[in-house]
Amino acid sequence: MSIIQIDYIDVAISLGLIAVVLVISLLSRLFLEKDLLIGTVRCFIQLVIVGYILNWVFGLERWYAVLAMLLVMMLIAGYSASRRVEGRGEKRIVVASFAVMAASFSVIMVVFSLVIPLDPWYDPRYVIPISGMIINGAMNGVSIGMATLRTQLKDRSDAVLAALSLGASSTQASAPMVRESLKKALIPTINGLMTAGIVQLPGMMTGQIVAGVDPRLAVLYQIMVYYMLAASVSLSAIIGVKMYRRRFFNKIHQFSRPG
Amino acid sequence: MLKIDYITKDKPWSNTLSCGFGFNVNIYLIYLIIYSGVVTVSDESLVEFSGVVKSFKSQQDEDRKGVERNVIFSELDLSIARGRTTALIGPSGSGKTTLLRLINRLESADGGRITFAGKDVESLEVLSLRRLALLLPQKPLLFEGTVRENITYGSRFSGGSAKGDDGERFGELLAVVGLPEELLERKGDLSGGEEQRVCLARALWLSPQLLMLDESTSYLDPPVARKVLANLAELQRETGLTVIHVTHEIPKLKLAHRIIFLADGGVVQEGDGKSLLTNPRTAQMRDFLGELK
Repeated sequence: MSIIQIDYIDVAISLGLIAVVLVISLLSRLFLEKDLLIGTVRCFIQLVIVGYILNWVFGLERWYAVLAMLLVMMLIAGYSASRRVEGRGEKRIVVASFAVMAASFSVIMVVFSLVIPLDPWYDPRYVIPISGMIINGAMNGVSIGMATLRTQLKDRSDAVLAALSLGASSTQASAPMVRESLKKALIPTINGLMTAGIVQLPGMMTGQIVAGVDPRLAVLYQIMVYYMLAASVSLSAIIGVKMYRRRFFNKIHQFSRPG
Repeated sequence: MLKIDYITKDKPWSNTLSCGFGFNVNIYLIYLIIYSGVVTVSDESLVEFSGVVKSFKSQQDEDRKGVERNVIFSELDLSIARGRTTALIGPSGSGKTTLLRLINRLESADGGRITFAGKDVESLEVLSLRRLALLLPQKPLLFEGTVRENITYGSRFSGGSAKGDDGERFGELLAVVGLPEELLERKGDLSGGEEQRVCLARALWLSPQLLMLDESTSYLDPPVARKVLANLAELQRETGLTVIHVTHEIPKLKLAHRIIFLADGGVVQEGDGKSLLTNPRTAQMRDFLGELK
Protein backbone atom coordinates (compact mmCIF):
# COMPACT_ATOMS: atom_id res chain seq x y z
CA MET A 1 0.00 0.00 0.00
CA SER A 2 1.43 3.37 -0.97
CA ILE A 3 0.96 6.75 0.65
CA ILE A 4 -0.89 9.52 -1.15
CA GLN A 5 1.58 12.32 -1.82
CA ILE A 6 0.76 15.88 -0.79
CA ASP A 7 2.79 19.00 -1.59
CA TYR A 8 3.05 22.63 -0.46
CA ILE A 9 0.04 23.60 -2.60
CA ASP A 10 -2.11 21.07 -0.75
CA VAL A 11 -0.83 22.46 2.55
CA ALA A 12 -1.68 26.00 1.36
CA ILE A 13 -5.24 24.82 0.73
CA SER A 14 -5.43 23.46 4.30
CA LEU A 15 -4.47 26.95 5.41
CA GLY A 16 -8.05 27.82 4.45
CA LEU A 17 -9.07 25.98 7.64
CA ILE A 18 -7.00 28.40 9.68
CA ALA A 19 -8.82 31.22 7.87
CA VAL A 20 -12.05 29.84 9.34
CA VAL A 21 -10.56 30.12 12.84
CA LEU A 22 -9.39 33.63 12.05
CA VAL A 23 -12.88 34.70 10.99
CA ILE A 24 -14.40 33.19 14.14
CA SER A 25 -11.82 35.01 16.29
CA LEU A 26 -12.55 38.33 14.53
CA LEU A 27 -16.33 37.97 14.71
CA SER A 28 -16.35 36.88 18.34
CA ARG A 29 -13.77 39.51 19.30
CA LEU A 30 -11.48 36.89 20.86
CA PHE A 31 -8.39 38.94 19.89
CA LEU A 32 -6.52 35.75 19.11
CA GLU A 33 -5.60 36.74 15.54
CA LYS A 34 -2.04 37.77 16.33
CA ASP A 35 -1.22 34.63 18.33
CA LEU A 36 -2.98 32.48 15.77
CA LEU A 37 -0.94 33.93 12.90
CA ILE A 38 2.34 33.60 14.83
CA GLY A 39 1.42 30.04 15.78
CA THR A 40 0.53 29.12 12.21
CA VAL A 41 3.80 30.48 10.85
CA ARG A 42 5.93 28.99 13.66
CA CYS A 43 4.32 25.58 13.24
CA PHE A 44 5.06 25.68 9.52
CA ILE A 45 8.68 26.80 9.84
CA GLN A 46 9.54 24.48 12.76
CA LEU A 47 8.07 21.38 11.17
CA VAL A 48 9.59 22.03 7.75
CA ILE A 49 13.02 22.45 9.38
CA VAL A 50 12.49 19.28 11.44
CA GLY A 51 11.47 17.44 8.28
CA TYR A 52 14.72 18.42 6.59
CA ILE A 53 16.82 17.61 9.65
CA LEU A 54 15.16 14.19 10.01
CA ASN A 55 15.66 13.52 6.32
CA TRP A 56 19.32 14.42 6.69
CA VAL A 57 19.83 12.31 9.83
CA PHE A 58 17.99 9.36 8.26
CA GLY A 59 20.26 9.68 5.23
CA LEU A 60 23.43 9.84 7.31
CA GLU A 61 22.75 6.53 9.04
CA ARG A 62 25.35 7.27 11.71
CA TRP A 63 24.80 6.42 15.38
CA TYR A 64 26.41 9.61 16.63
CA ALA A 65 24.07 11.75 14.55
CA VAL A 66 21.08 9.98 16.14
CA LEU A 67 22.47 10.33 19.67
CA ALA A 68 23.34 14.00 19.10
CA MET A 69 19.81 14.63 17.93
CA LEU A 70 18.37 12.92 21.04
CA LEU A 71 20.65 14.97 23.27
CA VAL A 72 19.52 18.22 21.65
CA MET A 73 15.87 17.17 22.02
CA MET A 74 16.39 16.41 25.71
CA LEU A 75 18.15 19.69 26.40
CA ILE A 76 15.46 21.69 24.66
CA ALA A 77 12.80 19.73 26.57
CA GLY A 78 14.56 20.35 29.89
CA TYR A 79 14.90 24.05 29.18
CA SER A 80 11.27 24.39 28.07
CA ALA A 81 10.09 22.51 31.16
CA SER A 82 12.06 24.82 33.45
CA ARG A 83 10.64 27.90 31.73
CA ARG A 84 7.17 26.87 32.76
CA VAL A 85 8.28 26.98 36.41
CA GLU A 86 8.22 30.44 38.00
CA GLY A 87 11.19 31.87 39.84
CA ARG A 88 14.76 32.78 39.25
CA GLY A 89 18.04 30.96 39.34
CA GLU A 90 19.68 28.28 37.26
CA LYS A 91 18.80 25.53 39.69
CA ARG A 92 15.44 24.84 38.08
CA ILE A 93 17.00 24.59 34.59
CA VAL A 94 19.60 22.11 35.86
CA VAL A 95 16.99 20.09 37.79
CA ALA A 96 14.50 20.02 34.90
CA SER A 97 17.14 19.04 32.33
CA PHE A 98 18.57 16.35 34.56
CA ALA A 99 15.12 14.92 35.32
CA VAL A 100 14.11 14.89 31.64
CA MET A 101 17.38 13.20 30.66
CA ALA A 102 17.45 10.63 33.44
CA ALA A 103 13.81 9.64 32.98
CA SER A 104 13.74 9.54 29.19
CA PHE A 105 17.11 7.82 28.95
CA SER A 106 15.95 5.00 31.25
CA VAL A 107 12.69 4.49 29.37
CA ILE A 108 14.39 4.68 25.95
CA MET A 109 16.88 2.02 27.06
CA VAL A 110 14.12 -0.33 28.17
CA VAL A 111 12.03 0.22 25.03
CA PHE A 112 14.80 -0.37 22.52
CA SER A 113 16.62 -3.10 24.32
CA LEU A 114 13.61 -5.19 25.37
CA VAL A 115 10.46 -4.14 23.48
CA ILE A 116 11.54 -3.18 19.96
CA PRO A 117 14.81 -4.85 18.98
CA LEU A 118 16.37 -2.72 16.24
CA ASP A 119 18.79 -3.47 13.46
CA PRO A 120 20.98 -1.41 13.40
CA TRP A 121 20.49 -0.51 17.08
CA TYR A 122 20.26 3.21 16.32
CA ASP A 123 17.76 2.93 13.42
CA PRO A 124 16.67 6.61 13.32
CA ARG A 125 13.26 5.80 11.78
CA TYR A 126 12.27 4.24 15.13
CA VAL A 127 14.61 5.80 17.64
CA ILE A 128 13.91 9.45 16.89
CA PRO A 129 10.07 9.57 16.77
CA ILE A 130 9.56 7.14 19.67
CA SER A 131 12.21 8.82 21.81
CA GLY A 132 10.59 12.13 20.91
CA MET A 133 7.34 10.98 22.48
CA ILE A 134 9.15 9.75 25.56
CA ILE A 135 11.07 13.01 25.95
CA ASN A 136 7.89 15.01 25.46
CA GLY A 137 6.19 13.00 28.21
CA ALA A 138 9.16 13.56 30.53
CA MET A 139 9.03 17.28 29.79
CA ASN A 140 5.35 17.50 30.71
CA GLY A 141 5.81 15.45 33.87
CA VAL A 142 8.69 17.54 35.09
CA SER A 143 7.19 20.91 34.31
CA ILE A 144 3.79 20.21 35.87
CA GLY A 145 5.42 18.55 38.89
CA MET A 146 7.96 21.32 39.57
CA ALA A 147 5.52 24.17 38.94
CA THR A 148 2.98 22.57 41.29
CA LEU A 149 5.58 21.99 43.99
CA ARG A 150 6.57 25.62 43.88
CA THR A 151 3.00 26.92 44.22
CA GLN A 152 2.19 24.34 46.88
CA LEU A 153 5.19 25.31 49.02
CA LYS A 154 4.33 28.96 48.57
CA ASP A 155 0.63 28.64 49.38
CA ARG A 156 1.04 26.12 52.19
CA SER A 157 4.14 27.57 53.83
CA ASP A 158 2.27 27.75 57.15
CA ALA A 159 1.78 23.99 57.08
CA VAL A 160 5.47 23.44 56.32
CA LEU A 161 6.50 25.67 59.22
CA ALA A 162 3.97 24.08 61.57
CA ALA A 163 5.36 20.62 60.82
CA LEU A 164 8.99 21.77 61.11
CA SER A 165 8.15 23.35 64.47
CA LEU A 166 6.89 19.97 65.66
CA GLY A 167 10.23 18.42 64.82
CA ALA A 168 9.46 17.18 61.31
CA SER A 169 12.37 16.82 58.89
CA SER A 170 12.16 18.82 55.68
CA THR A 171 11.19 15.63 53.83
CA GLN A 172 8.35 14.96 56.26
CA ALA A 173 7.21 18.58 56.36
CA SER A 174 6.97 18.82 52.58
CA ALA A 175 5.59 15.32 51.94
CA PRO A 176 1.96 16.44 51.41
CA MET A 177 3.09 19.06 48.88
CA VAL A 178 5.31 16.59 47.06
CA ARG A 179 2.42 14.11 46.87
CA GLU A 180 0.12 16.78 45.46
CA SER A 181 2.70 17.73 42.81
CA LEU A 182 3.21 14.14 41.67
CA LYS A 183 -0.54 13.62 41.53
CA LYS A 184 -1.02 16.70 39.38
CA ALA A 185 1.77 15.59 37.05
CA LEU A 186 0.37 12.09 36.63
CA ILE A 187 -3.35 12.79 36.30
CA PRO A 188 -3.32 13.75 32.57
CA THR A 189 -1.42 10.55 31.74
CA ILE A 190 -3.75 8.37 33.81
CA ASN A 191 -6.76 10.03 32.20
CA GLY A 192 -5.15 9.32 28.84
CA LEU A 193 -4.85 5.63 29.73
CA MET A 194 -8.50 5.56 30.82
CA THR A 195 -9.92 7.07 27.64
CA ALA A 196 -7.40 5.65 25.16
CA GLY A 197 -9.09 4.71 21.92
CA ILE A 198 -12.52 5.85 23.12
CA VAL A 199 -12.28 9.59 23.04
CA GLN A 200 -9.57 9.83 20.42
CA LEU A 201 -7.37 7.65 18.31
CA PRO A 202 -3.89 8.55 19.39
CA GLY A 203 -1.40 10.17 17.04
CA MET A 204 1.01 7.36 16.46
CA MET A 205 -1.72 4.83 15.78
CA THR A 206 -3.48 7.20 13.39
CA GLY A 207 -0.20 7.78 11.59
CA GLN A 208 0.56 4.12 11.21
CA ILE A 209 -2.95 3.31 9.99
CA VAL A 210 -2.72 6.09 7.40
CA ALA A 211 0.66 4.69 6.36
CA GLY A 212 -1.00 1.34 5.70
CA VAL A 213 -0.04 -0.66 8.78
CA ASP A 214 -2.44 -3.36 9.97
CA PRO A 215 -4.59 -1.62 12.65
CA ARG A 216 -3.98 -4.55 15.02
CA LEU A 217 -0.24 -3.94 14.88
CA ALA A 218 -0.78 -0.18 15.14
CA VAL A 219 -2.79 -0.80 18.29
CA LEU A 220 0.02 -2.86 19.85
CA TYR A 221 2.47 -0.05 19.14
CA GLN A 222 0.10 2.47 20.63
CA ILE A 223 -0.37 0.45 23.80
CA MET A 224 3.38 0.28 24.22
CA VAL A 225 3.57 4.03 23.63
CA TYR A 226 1.02 4.66 26.37
CA TYR A 227 2.88 2.50 28.85
CA MET A 228 6.24 4.02 28.12
CA LEU A 229 4.73 7.51 28.35
CA ALA A 230 3.27 6.72 31.76
CA ALA A 231 6.70 5.54 32.89
CA SER A 232 8.55 8.54 31.52
CA VAL A 233 6.06 11.08 32.91
CA SER A 234 6.10 9.57 36.39
CA LEU A 235 9.85 8.99 36.51
CA SER A 236 10.65 12.51 35.40
CA ALA A 237 8.10 14.01 37.81
CA ILE A 238 9.51 12.04 40.74
CA ILE A 239 13.12 12.89 39.95
CA GLY A 240 12.34 16.54 39.20
CA VAL A 241 10.07 17.17 42.20
CA LYS A 242 12.34 15.43 44.72
CA MET A 243 15.42 17.26 43.48
CA TYR A 244 13.62 20.58 43.26
CA ARG A 245 12.33 20.26 46.82
CA ARG A 246 15.91 20.50 48.10
CA ARG A 247 16.10 23.98 46.67
CA PHE A 248 13.70 25.21 49.39
CA PHE A 249 15.34 23.61 52.43
CA ASN A 250 18.83 23.42 53.85
CA LYS A 251 20.67 20.74 55.79
CA ILE A 252 19.36 21.88 59.15
CA HIS A 253 15.75 21.73 57.95
CA GLN A 254 15.22 25.44 57.56
CA PHE A 255 12.64 26.48 54.99
CA SER A 256 12.92 29.33 52.52
CA ARG A 257 9.50 30.05 51.09
CA PRO A 258 9.40 30.53 47.31
CA GLY A 259 8.82 34.23 46.67
CA MET B 1 3.20 4.10 103.99
CA LEU B 2 3.92 7.71 104.85
CA LYS B 3 2.40 9.38 107.87
CA ILE B 4 3.21 12.35 110.02
CA ASP B 5 3.83 11.04 113.52
CA TYR B 6 3.02 14.09 115.60
CA ILE B 7 2.87 17.80 115.21
CA THR B 8 4.21 20.18 117.79
CA LYS B 9 3.74 23.87 117.26
CA ASP B 10 6.56 24.95 119.50
CA LYS B 11 9.17 22.68 117.94
CA PRO B 12 8.26 22.39 114.23
CA TRP B 13 11.76 21.15 113.24
CA SER B 14 11.23 18.05 115.30
CA ASN B 15 8.17 16.93 113.27
CA THR B 16 8.98 13.72 111.46
CA LEU B 17 7.57 11.63 108.66
CA SER B 18 7.34 7.96 109.31
CA CYS B 19 8.28 5.97 106.26
CA GLY B 20 7.58 2.54 107.67
CA PHE B 21 10.30 0.20 108.87
CA GLY B 22 10.80 2.67 111.73
CA PHE B 23 12.59 5.08 109.37
CA ASN B 24 11.83 8.69 110.23
CA VAL B 25 12.66 11.84 108.25
CA ASN B 26 12.70 15.30 109.66
CA ILE B 27 10.02 17.41 107.91
CA TYR B 28 11.96 20.62 108.37
CA LEU B 29 14.82 19.03 106.50
CA ILE B 30 12.50 18.09 103.64
CA TYR B 31 11.18 21.66 103.46
CA LEU B 32 14.72 22.91 103.35
CA ILE B 33 15.67 20.57 100.52
CA ILE B 34 12.54 21.27 98.48
CA TYR B 35 12.72 25.02 99.04
CA SER B 36 16.36 25.34 98.14
CA GLY B 37 15.70 23.12 95.12
CA VAL B 38 12.93 25.44 93.89
CA VAL B 39 15.13 28.47 94.38
CA THR B 40 18.00 27.03 92.37
CA VAL B 41 15.69 25.83 89.59
CA SER B 42 13.91 29.14 89.14
CA ASP B 43 17.10 31.19 89.12
CA GLU B 44 18.70 29.08 86.47
CA SER B 45 18.26 30.20 82.87
CA LEU B 46 17.07 27.84 80.17
CA VAL B 47 17.94 30.00 77.19
CA GLU B 48 20.81 32.46 76.91
CA PHE B 49 21.57 34.87 74.08
CA SER B 50 25.00 36.42 74.12
CA GLY B 51 26.09 38.93 71.51
CA VAL B 52 23.58 37.58 68.98
CA VAL B 53 23.58 39.28 65.59
CA LYS B 54 20.86 38.76 63.02
CA SER B 55 19.95 40.56 59.84
CA PHE B 56 17.86 39.82 56.78
CA LYS B 57 18.18 40.78 53.18
CA SER B 58 15.58 43.48 52.73
CA GLN B 59 12.92 42.67 50.13
CA GLN B 60 13.64 45.39 47.58
CA ASP B 61 17.36 44.69 47.70
CA GLU B 62 17.05 41.11 46.57
CA ASP B 63 17.09 42.20 42.94
CA ARG B 64 20.12 44.38 43.36
CA LYS B 65 23.71 43.29 43.55
CA GLY B 66 24.93 45.37 46.48
CA VAL B 67 22.78 43.87 49.19
CA GLU B 68 21.80 46.12 52.05
CA ARG B 69 20.79 44.20 55.13
CA ASN B 70 17.98 44.89 57.48
CA VAL B 71 19.46 44.53 60.96
CA ILE B 72 17.15 42.87 63.50
CA PHE B 73 19.58 42.32 66.36
CA SER B 74 22.85 44.23 66.51
CA GLU B 75 24.13 42.51 69.65
CA LEU B 76 21.47 40.87 71.69
CA ASP B 77 22.04 39.59 75.22
CA LEU B 78 19.22 38.12 77.22
CA SER B 79 18.30 35.15 79.31
CA ILE B 80 15.06 33.26 79.78
CA ALA B 81 14.50 31.84 83.27
CA ARG B 82 13.74 28.16 83.57
CA GLY B 83 10.28 27.23 84.82
CA ARG B 84 9.01 30.79 84.42
CA THR B 85 6.88 32.78 81.98
CA THR B 86 8.69 35.52 80.12
CA ALA B 87 6.69 37.92 77.97
CA LEU B 88 8.27 39.50 74.91
CA ILE B 89 6.92 42.83 73.78
CA GLY B 90 8.04 45.38 71.28
CA PRO B 91 6.96 47.22 68.14
CA SER B 92 6.47 45.19 64.97
CA GLY B 93 9.77 44.46 63.30
CA SER B 94 11.61 44.45 66.63
CA GLY B 95 12.41 40.76 66.14
CA LYS B 96 10.09 38.97 68.56
CA THR B 97 9.24 36.16 66.15
CA THR B 98 12.82 36.04 64.87
CA LEU B 99 14.04 35.61 68.45
CA LEU B 100 11.78 32.58 68.89
CA ARG B 101 12.86 31.14 65.55
CA LEU B 102 16.51 31.54 66.51
CA ILE B 103 15.93 29.43 69.60
CA ASN B 104 14.44 26.49 67.69
CA ARG B 105 16.74 27.14 64.73
CA LEU B 106 14.14 27.81 62.11
CA GLU B 107 16.55 30.69 61.55
CA SER B 108 20.29 30.84 62.16
CA ALA B 109 22.06 33.73 63.83
CA ASP B 110 24.77 35.58 61.89
CA GLY B 111 26.92 35.83 64.99
CA GLY B 112 27.00 35.38 68.74
CA ARG B 113 25.91 32.39 70.77
CA ILE B 114 22.56 30.96 71.83
CA THR B 115 22.41 28.22 74.43
CA PHE B 116 19.53 25.97 75.40
CA ALA B 117 19.84 24.20 78.76
CA GLY B 118 23.50 25.18 78.83
CA LYS B 119 24.36 23.81 75.39
CA ASP B 120 25.02 25.76 72.23
CA VAL B 121 21.92 25.27 70.04
CA GLU B 122 24.18 24.61 67.07
CA SER B 123 25.62 21.59 68.83
CA LEU B 124 22.17 20.08 69.44
CA GLU B 125 20.37 17.81 66.98
CA VAL B 126 18.01 20.28 65.37
CA LEU B 127 14.87 18.11 65.15
CA SER B 128 15.02 17.11 68.82
CA LEU B 129 15.71 20.73 69.76
CA ARG B 130 12.49 21.77 67.97
CA ARG B 131 10.51 19.27 70.01
CA LEU B 132 12.07 20.52 73.26
CA ALA B 133 11.74 24.20 72.38
CA LEU B 134 8.34 24.19 70.78
CA LEU B 135 7.16 27.17 68.78
CA LEU B 136 3.46 27.81 68.35
CA PRO B 137 2.67 30.38 65.66
CA GLN B 138 -0.21 32.81 65.86
CA LYS B 139 -2.13 31.44 62.91
CA PRO B 140 -3.46 28.05 63.93
CA LEU B 141 -2.91 25.32 61.38
CA LEU B 142 -4.58 21.96 61.55
CA PHE B 143 -3.29 19.07 59.47
CA GLU B 144 -5.62 16.74 57.62
CA GLY B 145 -7.45 14.37 59.97
CA THR B 146 -9.41 14.48 63.19
CA VAL B 147 -8.66 16.61 66.23
CA ARG B 148 -7.30 13.49 67.91
CA GLU B 149 -4.92 12.83 65.02
CA ASN B 150 -3.87 16.46 65.11
CA ILE B 151 -3.05 16.40 68.79
CA THR B 152 -0.75 13.40 68.36
CA TYR B 153 0.64 14.66 65.04
CA GLY B 154 4.08 15.44 66.43
CA SER B 155 4.61 11.83 67.54
CA ARG B 156 4.92 10.62 63.97
CA PHE B 157 8.04 12.72 63.50
CA SER B 158 9.80 11.45 66.58
CA GLY B 159 9.43 7.85 65.45
CA GLY B 160 6.75 7.26 68.08
CA SER B 161 3.40 5.85 67.09
CA ALA B 162 0.48 8.19 66.61
CA LYS B 163 -2.10 5.67 67.75
CA GLY B 164 -3.34 8.00 70.42
CA ASP B 165 -4.52 5.28 72.77
CA ASP B 166 -3.36 7.24 75.77
CA GLY B 167 -6.80 8.24 77.02
CA GLU B 168 -5.65 9.78 80.26
CA ARG B 169 -3.19 12.01 78.47
CA PHE B 170 -5.91 13.26 76.09
CA GLY B 171 -8.12 14.02 79.07
CA GLU B 172 -5.39 16.06 80.76
CA LEU B 173 -4.48 18.03 77.66
CA LEU B 174 -8.08 18.77 76.73
CA ALA B 175 -8.65 20.00 80.27
CA VAL B 176 -5.64 22.32 80.03
CA VAL B 177 -6.78 23.86 76.74
CA GLY B 178 -10.46 23.74 77.72
CA LEU B 179 -11.90 21.65 74.92
CA PRO B 180 -14.60 18.99 75.35
CA GLU B 181 -13.73 15.35 74.62
CA GLU B 182 -16.51 15.14 72.01
CA LEU B 183 -14.35 17.29 69.78
CA LEU B 184 -11.68 14.59 69.46
CA GLU B 185 -13.29 12.88 66.47
CA ARG B 186 -14.23 16.11 64.69
CA LYS B 187 -12.67 16.72 61.28
CA GLY B 188 -12.46 20.39 60.36
CA ASP B 189 -15.27 22.87 61.01
CA LEU B 190 -13.66 24.39 64.12
CA SER B 191 -13.63 28.03 65.13
CA GLY B 192 -10.35 29.95 65.12
CA GLY B 193 -10.23 29.81 68.91
CA GLU B 194 -10.83 26.05 68.95
CA GLU B 195 -8.12 25.55 66.34
CA GLN B 196 -5.68 27.57 68.45
CA ARG B 197 -6.46 25.38 71.43
CA VAL B 198 -5.99 22.18 69.41
CA CYS B 199 -2.61 23.55 68.30
CA LEU B 200 -1.71 24.26 71.93
CA ALA B 201 -2.68 20.70 72.90
CA ARG B 202 -0.63 19.38 69.97
CA ALA B 203 2.39 21.28 71.25
CA LEU B 204 1.93 20.10 74.84
CA TRP B 205 1.51 16.49 73.64
CA LEU B 206 5.26 16.46 72.94
CA SER B 207 6.04 17.54 76.55
CA PRO B 208 8.39 20.36 75.58
CA GLN B 209 10.73 22.02 78.08
CA LEU B 210 10.09 25.38 76.50
CA LEU B 211 6.80 26.52 75.00
CA MET B 212 7.01 29.57 72.76
CA LEU B 213 3.64 31.24 72.21
CA ASP B 214 3.75 33.72 69.36
CA GLU B 215 0.43 35.46 70.03
CA SER B 216 -0.93 31.93 70.03
CA THR B 217 -3.94 32.68 72.19
CA SER B 218 -5.01 35.78 70.29
CA TYR B 219 -8.16 34.20 68.80
CA LEU B 220 -9.52 33.19 72.21
CA ASP B 221 -12.23 35.19 73.99
CA PRO B 222 -10.76 36.95 77.03
CA PRO B 223 -12.45 34.65 79.62
CA VAL B 224 -11.35 31.52 77.72
CA ALA B 225 -7.84 32.87 77.31
CA ARG B 226 -7.71 33.63 81.03
CA LYS B 227 -8.76 30.08 81.86
CA VAL B 228 -6.32 28.48 79.42
CA LEU B 229 -3.41 30.60 80.66
CA ALA B 230 -4.30 29.82 84.27
CA ASN B 231 -4.27 26.11 83.43
CA LEU B 232 -0.96 26.56 81.69
CA ALA B 233 0.44 28.27 84.81
CA GLU B 234 -0.76 25.32 86.86
CA LEU B 235 0.96 22.92 84.46
CA GLN B 236 4.06 25.07 84.74
CA ARG B 237 4.04 24.70 88.52
CA GLU B 238 3.66 20.94 88.21
CA THR B 239 6.15 20.25 85.44
CA GLY B 240 8.58 23.17 85.48
CA LEU B 241 7.61 24.15 81.92
CA THR B 242 9.25 27.35 80.69
CA VAL B 243 7.05 29.69 78.63
CA ILE B 244 7.92 32.58 76.35
CA HIS B 245 4.83 34.55 75.45
CA VAL B 246 4.77 37.13 72.69
CA THR B 247 1.64 39.14 73.37
CA HIS B 248 0.37 42.68 73.31
CA GLU B 249 -2.52 42.23 75.70
CA ILE B 250 -2.03 43.79 79.12
CA PRO B 251 -4.01 41.12 81.05
CA LYS B 252 -1.79 38.43 79.56
CA LEU B 253 1.34 40.45 80.25
CA LYS B 254 0.32 40.68 83.89
CA LEU B 255 0.55 36.90 84.13
CA ALA B 256 4.22 36.88 83.12
CA HIS B 257 6.95 36.63 85.73
CA ARG B 258 9.20 38.76 83.61
CA ILE B 259 8.76 41.11 80.69
CA ILE B 260 11.38 41.93 78.08
CA PHE B 261 10.88 44.96 75.86
CA LEU B 262 12.64 44.61 72.51
CA ALA B 263 13.31 47.52 70.17
CA ASP B 264 16.05 48.96 67.97
CA GLY B 265 18.03 45.76 67.70
CA GLY B 266 18.18 44.82 71.36
CA VAL B 267 16.62 44.77 74.81
CA VAL B 268 15.50 48.24 75.85
CA GLN B 269 14.17 47.31 79.26
CA GLU B 270 13.40 44.16 81.15
CA GLY B 271 12.10 43.42 84.55
CA ASP B 272 9.64 41.86 86.87
CA GLY B 273 6.18 41.72 85.21
CA LYS B 274 4.11 44.07 87.34
CA SER B 275 6.79 46.62 88.16
CA LEU B 276 7.73 47.03 84.53
CA LEU B 277 4.12 47.60 83.51
CA THR B 278 3.56 50.22 86.17
CA ASN B 279 6.95 51.84 85.91
CA PRO B 280 8.28 51.97 82.35
CA ARG B 281 11.66 53.70 82.49
CA THR B 282 12.01 54.86 78.92
CA ALA B 283 9.72 57.21 77.01
CA GLN B 284 9.70 54.71 74.14
CA MET B 285 8.33 51.99 76.34
CA ARG B 286 5.84 54.34 78.00
CA ASP B 287 4.45 55.27 74.58
CA PHE B 288 4.36 51.64 73.54
CA LEU B 289 2.49 50.50 76.65
CA GLY B 290 0.11 53.43 76.29
CA GLU B 291 -1.10 52.04 72.98
CA LEU B 292 -1.77 48.54 74.27
CA LYS B 293 -5.17 47.27 75.29
